[in-house]
Amino acid sequence: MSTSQSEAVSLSPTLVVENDPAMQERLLYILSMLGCDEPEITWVESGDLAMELLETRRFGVALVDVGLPEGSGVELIDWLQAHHPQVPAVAISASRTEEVIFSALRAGAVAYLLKERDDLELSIGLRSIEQGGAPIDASIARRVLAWHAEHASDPAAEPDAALTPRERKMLELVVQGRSHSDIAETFSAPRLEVERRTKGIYKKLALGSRETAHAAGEYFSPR
Amino acid sequence: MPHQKAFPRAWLAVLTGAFLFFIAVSPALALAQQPALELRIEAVRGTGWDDTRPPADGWTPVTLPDSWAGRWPGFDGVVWYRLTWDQPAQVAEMGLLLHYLNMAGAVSLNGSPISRDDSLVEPLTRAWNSPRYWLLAPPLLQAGRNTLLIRVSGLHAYQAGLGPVSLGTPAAMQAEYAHERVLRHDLQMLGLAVSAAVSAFFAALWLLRRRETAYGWFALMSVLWLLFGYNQIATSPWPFASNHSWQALNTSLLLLFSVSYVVFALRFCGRRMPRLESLALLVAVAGVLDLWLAGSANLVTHRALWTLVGGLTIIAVNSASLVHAVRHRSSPMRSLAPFMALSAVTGAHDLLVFTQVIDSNIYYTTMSSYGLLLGMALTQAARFVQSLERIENFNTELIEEVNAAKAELAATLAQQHALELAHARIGERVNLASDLHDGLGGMLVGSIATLERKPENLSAPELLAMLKRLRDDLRLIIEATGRHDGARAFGELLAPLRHRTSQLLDANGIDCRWQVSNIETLELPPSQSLDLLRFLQEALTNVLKHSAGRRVDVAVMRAGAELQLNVRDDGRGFVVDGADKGAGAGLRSLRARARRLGADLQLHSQPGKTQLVLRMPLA
Repeated sequence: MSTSQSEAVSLSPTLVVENDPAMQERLLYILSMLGCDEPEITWVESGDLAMELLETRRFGVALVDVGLPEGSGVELIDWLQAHHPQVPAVAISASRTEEVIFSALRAGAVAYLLKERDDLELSIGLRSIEQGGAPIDASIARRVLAWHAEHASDPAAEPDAALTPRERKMLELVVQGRSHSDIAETFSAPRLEVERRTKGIYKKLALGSRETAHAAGEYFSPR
Repeated sequence: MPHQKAFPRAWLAVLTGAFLFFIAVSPALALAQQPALELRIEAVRGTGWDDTRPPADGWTPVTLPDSWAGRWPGFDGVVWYRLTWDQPAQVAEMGLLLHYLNMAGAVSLNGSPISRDDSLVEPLTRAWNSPRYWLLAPPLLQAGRNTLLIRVSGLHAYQAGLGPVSLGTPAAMQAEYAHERVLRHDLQMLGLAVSAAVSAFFAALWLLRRRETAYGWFALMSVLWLLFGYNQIATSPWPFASNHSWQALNTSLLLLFSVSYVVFALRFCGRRMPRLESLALLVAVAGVLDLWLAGSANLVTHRALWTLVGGLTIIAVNSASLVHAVRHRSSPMRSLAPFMALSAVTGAHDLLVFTQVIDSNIYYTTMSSYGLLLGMALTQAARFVQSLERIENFNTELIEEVNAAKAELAATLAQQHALELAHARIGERVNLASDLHDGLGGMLVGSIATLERKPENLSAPELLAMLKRLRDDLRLIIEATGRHDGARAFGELLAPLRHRTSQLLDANGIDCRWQVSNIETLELPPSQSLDLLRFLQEALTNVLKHSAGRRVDVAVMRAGAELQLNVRDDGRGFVVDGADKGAGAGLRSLRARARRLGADLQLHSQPGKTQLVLRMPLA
């Protein structure tokens, strides 16, 4: 596994794009547990404000609620990927609908977090992200596999965006519900390696999506 | 339909053939009338039936063909004809053609007999339609004067007399004889054979299909015509003792034929005219009785009358059929019309011959009637082909209909299946709804009740645990039912729970090992899947919260007709019997779930090893 894919993410300073006060409070608590104190966190409630801020300041990470009105969360992630690819975006989703999470990943999110999970789970996820990894669920893994199966014969597909057999195998194990440590054991690799590999898969997804979108002339410009 | 267009062409061909036939016949007839040599012909009446030589006196010159009834009215008996000619010396041989004599006769040349019919007295040999040919050569044929003596036994009522006699080169005479023979005998014979075959065919057709009365009448008509036509080649009045009876029979047959012809024509057009039919039959019966009761003296006029009646009836039927064919486009007579026309023409001709308006004794009706038979056969063939096509079309239509019915049935079945599926889903929804009510609803009601009764005693963590339980259950409901319409294998539904609980236990320092086997294709009703997921979630939550263990082994497997869930941890354990009463609300609900699933739950606990085994029979 190449280490170039597994750049660590700095959780400070953090930009949180979230309009739900309760969630803001939760994130504040979780981030502080991970060592990112309040002064390091910038809160905005809309994508437009976030874009303005991103033009002027540097952030280690942007936590973007994809449930913002009118899908502006996914648009922001897309914009970020196009204009400030050095700022990793993490999608935060309230809904368990794979569609939204999947589109966020295709737009370039390095990882996603589910609001419905316990604080403990969110902090584990964020820790993994900080270390250059990303969490994954069975349903998303199934979705990723399906997407690749569909675009495998696509002539416009970027060869770099194709899954390696090892990645495919890993996703299949996730689909079966196997835990990260379980998978790590199967591959005789540290658990973090599995999570970094997950992040690599997400990047390929974004790369592949971008290529496909360009090829189809559908790529939409940011607002 | 193409064959309907083809058939008029066939009629045309037949008509043309008949026309050509007449063209061919006519010049031959004309030729036959020309005598090759100057003949002197005289006749004299004999004195008795048994005369062997002609009287010396009383010869009168006659011309051939001769019918003596005009000269010697009412004379029945023997008439001698003497034909004399001067034979040039250099001619070695001659052909002699005697077209016919009426009825029986004997011929001698220069005193030597050259021919004698079987019976020269009643019952007379019926030789009226038999042409004769002789090759005359020396010494029989003499140079100079030759005398041909022809003795004719005849009855005045039946055109008694002598037909044309031709003398000429043997080749010419023989050719003419062959022509006469064909016309007077061979064709008649052929016609009778065809008539017999066709009437047998139509009789069989009618016997097999009684509804087709037209064919029955046609068969009857053909048989009558066959018997009537037999007169043309009969050489003896057998079984009658006299020619009078024979002729009475013959005319009776004609009358009966004309009646059946009337009925046939009507039936063939699909009509019934009871009055007309009865009238025709009445007339025919009257005719027959009259013919048989009339004395031989009156037979001539009676026979002529009834023959005329019969002949006119036939002509009337033919004309009416032609009119019908012209008037009605769909008339079945259309196919028979050409033959009817031919029949009408020949019928008229023969009637004129019979009444001696035309000086001949060749009758064509018998032959033209075979045209009618042929027409019937062709019509029948056309109908047969039409029926075949109808059957074929019917088969095609039937196949199409069957296919359509099949498709409809398939569609109906598919619809029914879809409906059943929808019903099943609705049923599942109802199950889920009641499940939500029992499960999530129950929890909510319980939580509300707890909060209402003693809110002050409820700690924040307890409240949190309560809410988390609600959330977890909701999550399971979503996972178990999902957004998927189709049923999903239990193995698939299990994956999210497995993944999440593993991660959670992992995060809490508990090593979680799963063993899943044989459930990839196991499909269960959503409510059942949900209860199994709940069972596992609670079991694992218990392990997480209470066991203080380091490791948990989860096994989900299908063995035969049983699904087995096995959760084993190395925690501190609990007292099984007391657990239900104490803090172990989790255990209580585990038992409740097992009951709902109709499964057997076994608990074993001791420090270091606690095991839950759920065995659920699969339907």
